[in-house]
Amino acid sequence: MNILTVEGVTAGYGDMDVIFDITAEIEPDDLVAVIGPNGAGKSTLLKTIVGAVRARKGEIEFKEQDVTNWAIDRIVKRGLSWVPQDDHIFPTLTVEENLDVGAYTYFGDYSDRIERVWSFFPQLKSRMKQVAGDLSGGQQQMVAVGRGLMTEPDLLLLDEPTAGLAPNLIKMMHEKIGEINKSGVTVLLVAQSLETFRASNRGYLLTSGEIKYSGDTEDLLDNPEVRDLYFGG
Amino acid sequence: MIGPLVNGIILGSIITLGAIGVTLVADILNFFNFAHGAIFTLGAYFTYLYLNILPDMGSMFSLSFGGSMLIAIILSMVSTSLVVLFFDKIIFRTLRRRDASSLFLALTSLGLVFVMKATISMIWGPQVHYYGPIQSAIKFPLGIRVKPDEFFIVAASLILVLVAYLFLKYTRLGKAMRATSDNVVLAQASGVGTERIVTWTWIMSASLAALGGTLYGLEVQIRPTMGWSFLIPMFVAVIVGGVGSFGGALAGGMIIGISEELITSLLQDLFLKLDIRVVMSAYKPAIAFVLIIFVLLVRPHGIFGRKGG
Repeated sequence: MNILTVEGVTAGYGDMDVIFDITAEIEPDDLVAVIGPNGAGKSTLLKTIVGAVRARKGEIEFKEQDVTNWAIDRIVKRGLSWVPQDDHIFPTLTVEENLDVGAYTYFGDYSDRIERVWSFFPQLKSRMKQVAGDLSGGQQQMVAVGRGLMTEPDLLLLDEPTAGLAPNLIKMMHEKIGEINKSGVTVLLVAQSLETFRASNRGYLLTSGEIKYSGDTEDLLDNPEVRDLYFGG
Repeated sequence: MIGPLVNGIILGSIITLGAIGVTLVADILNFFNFAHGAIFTLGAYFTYLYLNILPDMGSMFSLSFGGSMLIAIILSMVSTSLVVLFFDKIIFRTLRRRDASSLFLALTSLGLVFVMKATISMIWGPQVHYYGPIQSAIKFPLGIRVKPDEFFIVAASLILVLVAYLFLKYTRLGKAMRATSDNVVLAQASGVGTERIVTWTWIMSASLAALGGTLYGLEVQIRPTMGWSFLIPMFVAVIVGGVGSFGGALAGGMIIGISEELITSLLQDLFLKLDIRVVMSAYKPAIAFVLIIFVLLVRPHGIFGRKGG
């Protein structure tokens, strides 16, 4: 049974459609990557799933409920968390406050959730009182993912989580995403690089707003057309 | 020098109460609320209304008022918040849903000023009112003269500013409000409902304005235009301190209050020595504008504001 089903979704901005008739399925505990060239509609797909962009056509089902065009805060309460590519932290809040806001939907004691974030990103613990906007790009990315984990999501959407990071941080982030996935969180991420794509189990290749190929990561990497289209042969 | 400084602190503490409301709305709702002065006035009149309805409870300590005033202030804060929420529901929420620009929202608030001012004049008349008898000041060394009510004004302002700060800094809702002002979409992605935040922003802003209006009424007098003349110092305090900065509103309020009093006093003395007859208190708004120009030239984002914020 799928945790997320996207069925024939078309969405865009203003009068312009950006993604067309997208159909995708994510199973529980999956680690799925969406790849494609710039402007292919990868981020728009994630935004449409979470409700930040309205779907003009089609249906999005999450945990057996139609959530098409739900308000973002409502879909988050149902167990879906989204870490956008840009503006992914609250810059004037401290690291700890960013995590506090991440747990906004939970009314009980969430110290165990914060401890879980520290266990994934121990570097953040010593900077918990520091204003997030003053952190390095890599640390901000950790805060962003940590905030996304504070809702204890069933499905985590990560939009280019390694964008702009140094190679050693990219490797670390891949490991962390793998750990998060192994801890029982289904992950759907937008992959910018071959390395990030390799970290996933399955993938969708998006070009010009349409899904061109989908399948297991290894199969897609073995497909010469996919390699030509996206990874340059 | 000390006397005007004390007066400046009293004035600054009232400006700060108003400025915090202006900066909250500017930061979270993303527009400069010109109606904030009218809300300030409405708060003063609501207190006057409740003070006349409630039984007289005598006076406390050396103050000109007693328990009935404190109850009237609380009722005024609640009533003012309800009126402001009503305006939000029928006007501003509709405009937000239509993605109205910040400029349009600000202009709408300017229109609301005239509606509120006219309504207040119709209900309470254009004449001035007082909460009670005019107090005589206590004399202190160095020529300082302070009325007992003025101690209450400063103390009440500081307590409310502290409460507002602690609320924003440490409560779940306060952090959500700050998060929303940082990034609305990301706050929503954390499960924060924007409309709830908007409601609490109005409640905080209106409550502080109602208290500010009452304290100003206590210090001077109640009249339909009192908030309008106070709007410039409140806006200047926010811009000088940095839009969206709580500390900036506090510092900006005090800077405006103290510099208005100090500079007018110094210039008044100077003109007297030069035998030039000028009533400098009439030029207080000019001092505020000079300050704003100076600060914006040196720090365009205000003293505590962030670049681009």
